Amino acid sequence: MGITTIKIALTGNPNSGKTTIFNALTGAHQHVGNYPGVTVEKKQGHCHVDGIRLEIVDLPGTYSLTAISEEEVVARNYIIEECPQVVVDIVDSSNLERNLYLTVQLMELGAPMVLVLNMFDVATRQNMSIDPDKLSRILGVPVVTTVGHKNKGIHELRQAILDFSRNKSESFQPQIDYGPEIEQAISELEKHLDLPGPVGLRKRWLAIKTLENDPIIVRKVHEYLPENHVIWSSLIQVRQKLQKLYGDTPEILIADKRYGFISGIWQEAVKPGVEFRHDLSDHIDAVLTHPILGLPIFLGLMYLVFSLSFSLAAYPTGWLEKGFSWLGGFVGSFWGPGSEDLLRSLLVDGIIGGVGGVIVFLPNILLLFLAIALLEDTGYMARAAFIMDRFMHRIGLHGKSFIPMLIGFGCSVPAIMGTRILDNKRDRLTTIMIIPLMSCGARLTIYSLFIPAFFAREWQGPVLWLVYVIGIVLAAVLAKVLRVFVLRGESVGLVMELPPYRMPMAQGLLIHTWQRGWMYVRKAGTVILAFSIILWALASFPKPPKNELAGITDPVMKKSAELRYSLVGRIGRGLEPAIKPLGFDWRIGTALVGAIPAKEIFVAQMGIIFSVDDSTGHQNPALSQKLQKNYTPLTAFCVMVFCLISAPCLATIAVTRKETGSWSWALAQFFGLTGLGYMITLIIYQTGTLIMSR
Amino acid sequence: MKSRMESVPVVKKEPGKVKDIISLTKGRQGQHYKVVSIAGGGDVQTRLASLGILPGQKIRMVQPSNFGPVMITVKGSKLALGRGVGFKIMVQPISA
Repeated sequence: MGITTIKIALTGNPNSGKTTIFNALTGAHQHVGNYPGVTVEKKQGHCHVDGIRLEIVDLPGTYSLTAISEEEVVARNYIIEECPQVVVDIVDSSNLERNLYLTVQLMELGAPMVLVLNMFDVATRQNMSIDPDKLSRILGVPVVTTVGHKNKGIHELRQAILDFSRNKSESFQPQIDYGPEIEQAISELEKHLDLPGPVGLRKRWLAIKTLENDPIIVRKVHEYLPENHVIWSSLIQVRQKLQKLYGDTPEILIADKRYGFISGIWQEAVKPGVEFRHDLSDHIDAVLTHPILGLPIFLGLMYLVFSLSFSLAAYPTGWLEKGFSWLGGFVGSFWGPGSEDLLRSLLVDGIIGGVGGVIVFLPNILLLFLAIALLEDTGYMARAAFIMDRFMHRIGLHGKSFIPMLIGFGCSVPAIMGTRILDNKRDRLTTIMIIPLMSCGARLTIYSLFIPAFFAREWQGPVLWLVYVIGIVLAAVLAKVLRVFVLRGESVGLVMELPPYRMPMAQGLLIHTWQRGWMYVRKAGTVILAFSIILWALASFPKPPKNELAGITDPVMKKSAELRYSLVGRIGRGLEPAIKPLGFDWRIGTALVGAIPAKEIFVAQMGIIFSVDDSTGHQNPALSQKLQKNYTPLTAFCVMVFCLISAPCLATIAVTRKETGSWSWALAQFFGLTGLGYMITLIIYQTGTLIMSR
Repeated sequence: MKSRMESVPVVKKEPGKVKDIISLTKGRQGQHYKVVSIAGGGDVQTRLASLGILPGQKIRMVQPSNFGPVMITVKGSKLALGRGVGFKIMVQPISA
């Protein structure tokens, strides 16, 4: 029986077009971004060639195979531990020299490699002439040229993978000559590396990595060779010797030799052309990242993104609202008017009301994500990180953290997942903790209920702006506090590739937008659906005894009385003493408890409490009037501030737990932010009351 | 449109003089430099090496800054380096 499946791993630098090749090979829908390190998850797919199944894993994009970033470790471990039959290394032909650094390291690792010269058209346009055959002969690996986004060379690549997996024994890969001194050190270490266990690695590679002081490899070798083994004293000796001889650490000397080897390849197989791609990008950067103009342009773009996504979303949001209220009416009509059937109440008030209230917000979220995808795919996002770096530096973070924070204005869930682009664990934790303070789209529903109800038209914009700014300022303060007191320690700082500006592809944008939007829909379908049902139950039971409702004939009044008697009402009333100093009454308390699963629910809860018989409607005139009668603008403002800061939604807590790997960070986030929200709101309300009473 | 980089006169200095050595953060727009040394821990060095920045490497300053990150090109790619990182890279001006 012949081979029926072949395991394949794709590797390559960020921005080498790796994900595009993955899509072309597998047909799977994946995102292609310009921002370095977009592929942080292990993505899998498969395809069939000649009746043979190719199982393909898209490894994270890396520049190197050291142990510095999580992505590098993930990629390296996969190749070592999972032993894919073919490792497809995708390089950006127009940036060949730097890209080959990873190739050379894969070669040293002994990976069974097929080299893909992607973006070959760009290299040709730059009058760069690369000889694939020569490259193949020098490196001892099959070489295929492709233009990923035009689907060129994909068929040839599939065939090359297949051919290679059949005749692997013929391949021969050269070895880098590190020069007499380093070679001597390598063979010295190799002598001691007779590991007893089945390590399954080239001894030379282990020796080089040990010499480089690679923490993970050193730890692994330690498992076999104890502290008193001769290798460790030998390691110190050879490292010191090399350092003395060259004045640089062995890591740097080895990297230098690798580049020297690449330079040799380059001279033989490449005729360089003009780099006019970078010239165009330079011209754009001269304006967009200008030391003075850069920031105002960035802020202007942000303003455009937000105002456009909110104003354009207004129409589809209106249609969805109408649709859900029709659906509620349609489902309710099966029971006849005034029915008190529990099932009707569950379906109409609980499920359609709860989930509908979230889904109507989808157009807004999708447009915001589309705008963010556009910024990413053109390459501007990396520039935004560059522009913001100096400000982020002041709060103890660096520019890269800014990207997930920006996504946080849409939804905290994809934003927290987006922190994977940060290599440093402390940077990542700090960013995760402050992301909920970026006012997400869900909280906008609350603002759009309260602001028009309580503030004159000319004040509505500034008040909304103020709420967002409060969040941003608090995020900055919190980040600084975390970095000074909790997550101390220096980070490497910003080291980031700025990819050339590119025309985004419509397909890529849509896939990216959809993937993030889907996360939001899934949240509505799972977490929010479940909690809508639970909340409905809490708000419906226990039913008040019949005699308490005697005399109340108005169905709306009756509903309100029932809610007051229910568990939610009791919790809300129980909370009243605690939230009274914030200017909140039991009704707001009830809605706040209800909004713990998802902020959007707050509006629906207020609707129920004030017995406005339309729980899906935002900017509901009836509800606005009732709110105006019961609260002051100060209380309205305090509600918004409290909802902004306190209690990130359950989906956020869940994703924080998943991304930090511990409940303690998730709970610290929840209770810490709730405490902070309480304090800030208390200060605002008490100060406000004092000023007004004068 | 004429590139701003072209309009900056290239400073010609003899290589090898110690007094020429400056930190990258003090670099001038459009000027080419050679990396002399990189201070700091192995992590910074290894990280920079994987992006092509090593002692002896030629780089070009695209956008200097007096208080923010700097932008350079190295081996045909464009990199943003935070001030802290740039400060650790010692360079010497060379002619293009």
